[in-house]
Amino acid sequence: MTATSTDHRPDAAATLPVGAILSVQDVDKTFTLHLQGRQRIPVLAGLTFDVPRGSCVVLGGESGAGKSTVMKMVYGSYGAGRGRILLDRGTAERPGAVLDLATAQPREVLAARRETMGYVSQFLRAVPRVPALDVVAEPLVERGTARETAREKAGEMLERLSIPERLWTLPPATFSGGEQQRVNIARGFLAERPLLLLDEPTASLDARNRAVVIDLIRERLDRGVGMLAIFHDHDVRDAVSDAIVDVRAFTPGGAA
Amino acid sequence: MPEPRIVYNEGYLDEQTKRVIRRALLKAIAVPGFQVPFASREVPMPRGWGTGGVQVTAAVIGQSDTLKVIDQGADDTTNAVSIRQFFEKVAGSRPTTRTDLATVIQTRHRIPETPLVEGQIMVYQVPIPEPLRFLEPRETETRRLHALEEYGLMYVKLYEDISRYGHIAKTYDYPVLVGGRYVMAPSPIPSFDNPKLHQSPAMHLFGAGREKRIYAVPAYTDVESLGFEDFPFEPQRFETPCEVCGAEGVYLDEIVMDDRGAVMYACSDTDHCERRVAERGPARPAENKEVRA
Amino acid sequence: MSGSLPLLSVANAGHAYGATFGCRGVDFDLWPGEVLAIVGESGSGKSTLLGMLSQRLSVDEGEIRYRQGKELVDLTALSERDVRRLWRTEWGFVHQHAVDGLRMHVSAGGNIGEPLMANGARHFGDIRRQAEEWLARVEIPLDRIDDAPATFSGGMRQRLQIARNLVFGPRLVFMDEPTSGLDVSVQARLLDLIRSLVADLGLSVIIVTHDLAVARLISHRTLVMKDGAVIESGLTDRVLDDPQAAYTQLLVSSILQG
Repeated sequence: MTATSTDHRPDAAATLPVGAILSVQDVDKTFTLHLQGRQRIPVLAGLTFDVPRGSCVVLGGESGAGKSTVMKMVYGSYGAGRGRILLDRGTAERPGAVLDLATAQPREVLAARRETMGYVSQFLRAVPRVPALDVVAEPLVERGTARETAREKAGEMLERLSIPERLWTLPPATFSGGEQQRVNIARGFLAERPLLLLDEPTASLDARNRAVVIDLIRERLDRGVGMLAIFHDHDVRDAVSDAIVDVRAFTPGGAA
Repeated sequence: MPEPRIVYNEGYLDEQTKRVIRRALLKAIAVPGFQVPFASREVPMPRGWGTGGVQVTAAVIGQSDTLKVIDQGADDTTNAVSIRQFFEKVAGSRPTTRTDLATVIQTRHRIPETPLVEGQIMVYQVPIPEPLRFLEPRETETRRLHALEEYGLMYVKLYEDISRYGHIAKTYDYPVLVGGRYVMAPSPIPSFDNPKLHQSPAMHLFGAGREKRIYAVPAYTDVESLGFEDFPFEPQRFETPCEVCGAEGVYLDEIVMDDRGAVMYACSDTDHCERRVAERGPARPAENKEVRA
Repeated sequence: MSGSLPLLSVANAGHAYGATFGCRGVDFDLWPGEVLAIVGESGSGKSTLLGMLSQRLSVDEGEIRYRQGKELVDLTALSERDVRRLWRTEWGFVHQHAVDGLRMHVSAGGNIGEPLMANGARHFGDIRRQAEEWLARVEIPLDRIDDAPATFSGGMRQRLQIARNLVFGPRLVFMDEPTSGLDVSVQARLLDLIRSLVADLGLSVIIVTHDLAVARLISHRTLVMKDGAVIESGLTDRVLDDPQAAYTQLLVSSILQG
């Protein structure tokens, strides 16, 4: 018996809208802080939005509204209390395969992360001792690309993001904040996956590198990649966003 | 002469004990190479001096037997002589030093050079019956390994030798695979003698008194010395002949001649050497290497 | 992926020490290539669970089934010979203390070669070559191949244990706190090695640890145990970032912040 089960009500067959890579439907999230007298903190209620392929949906709302929470629920790092998070996992061999991330088995989520969802988080969590080049190449290697080829492509990406070659063999833990951010971006963008989650990807970057990231985003959007993003930076947001979902609209407050 | 104060049972051991040992021997013969535990008795010598061999001999010997006892090939060491005389007294067996005339041969650490024939029984004195003992000290575990035929550990020992010395270093008590099933310690006979066990017409019985185990290799059984494909078993070789009788391809003892380090090499099997000299005279001086200084 | 069998299927399993259960009611499936961490504090039952899964302790309640070919086989129905064969050919076990998992006075090469010899390898040159390959893989200098682990440092002994356990290509490796007692930098190196070997070889691993950082670093999924029961389970980053159970929240908040 697993102790904690989240309340997933069975629904009629949930559907993914045509052309969407991700569909978030009626999702609630409440944190229960057992260590603080079992205080319940509802953060989101009835969250609903879609991410169409080829478009960049930006989460808006001030700090603390729950934007990162949304991102983490989609990625699977946070559990969802109620509702559905549908991901289009269809391929040529398996057309129409849809995964509900809210109720998925851990290995299904892991497969989705490997093949369908990329994530550029704010903080670089890298394994100690692995050189930057291999950190970046990892998603490609995981998907079966030969290590040497993956490293070549990783090098091209790092060059584009102005990470000098002399740093490629060093573990990124020793890099500056901006450099770590760029390694993160390189890793997130290297293997092309239909959905990309971007959590403040440009926070530590200068204008030039921000421009590079904007280019990267545009290139991917043109190729049909769907993106869900949090941008602190108004310039970047204005340059690439197709739609803004204001998370405050889903904050439980007052009447339900 | 006054009547002896003690009258011994035939073979020294009481009949029940002989039955115990014979049952163990039958089991051992039925499962070649398998160590059969037995209730090891006191005999008039301390443990470590061949009590296992003596008990086995006592269980099989009778008045019609001719007994040879050798100690590292020699009939004339103190212990060999004692044991031979002991059995002469308690079993009425005829003593001999001649391999070809013996029906039972008790040995410590050698198989005679003279080929054995059907009907002869070799009895070996065994110190440590368990070939894996020095690698796996737990008896519970070694029993399991034998039962499950898991002998990887034995090869680890051989691997270690080759890594350390470039060849398998064990030159005595070299482990053998008996009947394709059990790995056995053939007692501290030199590896030179191992090939004599393979498909031998004689019966070979092994007794470990202190460790309380009996095992056997019946006649015409496959006995294969362990090795690797690229480092197979190689018995010791002697390039020079015996300096006393001239025999070649026999196991030689090194005999120190004086205080200055002079040595000579002579047959370890004294019976073999004596008979050769009796038949054809001592080795011609030209056949000998110079006495090494 | 659906329709295929898990590698290990555990249903309501429990082990009792006399009248008390060391662990009870454990349910999970393990799939090929997954690393499962079992975390908990002393007395949580995690070591009992590991012992039971690896068949060193009896399954007193429930069932543990293991995939052999196209079937899930009840492990308790296997003979001792078959279980021992599993240990030689499909399972590895890395102990907390290297002395329990190595022959301390047999050379490093002999330790790595032993599983091969146990499985019938009889060519010295081959065995030695494989030992050399594995020493390189676990970053032990080749010139130590003939040295006994009694002369190695703690970290090197653990790496040798890993080599010995992987040389015969197992499908499933159990690890019992493999990094505890080691210096922090040595731990990092060891975990990094485990991670890359898991990725390269497609192993399944069940690792018991009291250290959440270890779980985060190398496991895909985590079971949290307390008082012999699993009180939370799921994706490792979900369990550690969004803990639902009170005890998990306590554990996570207790990690010393450096």
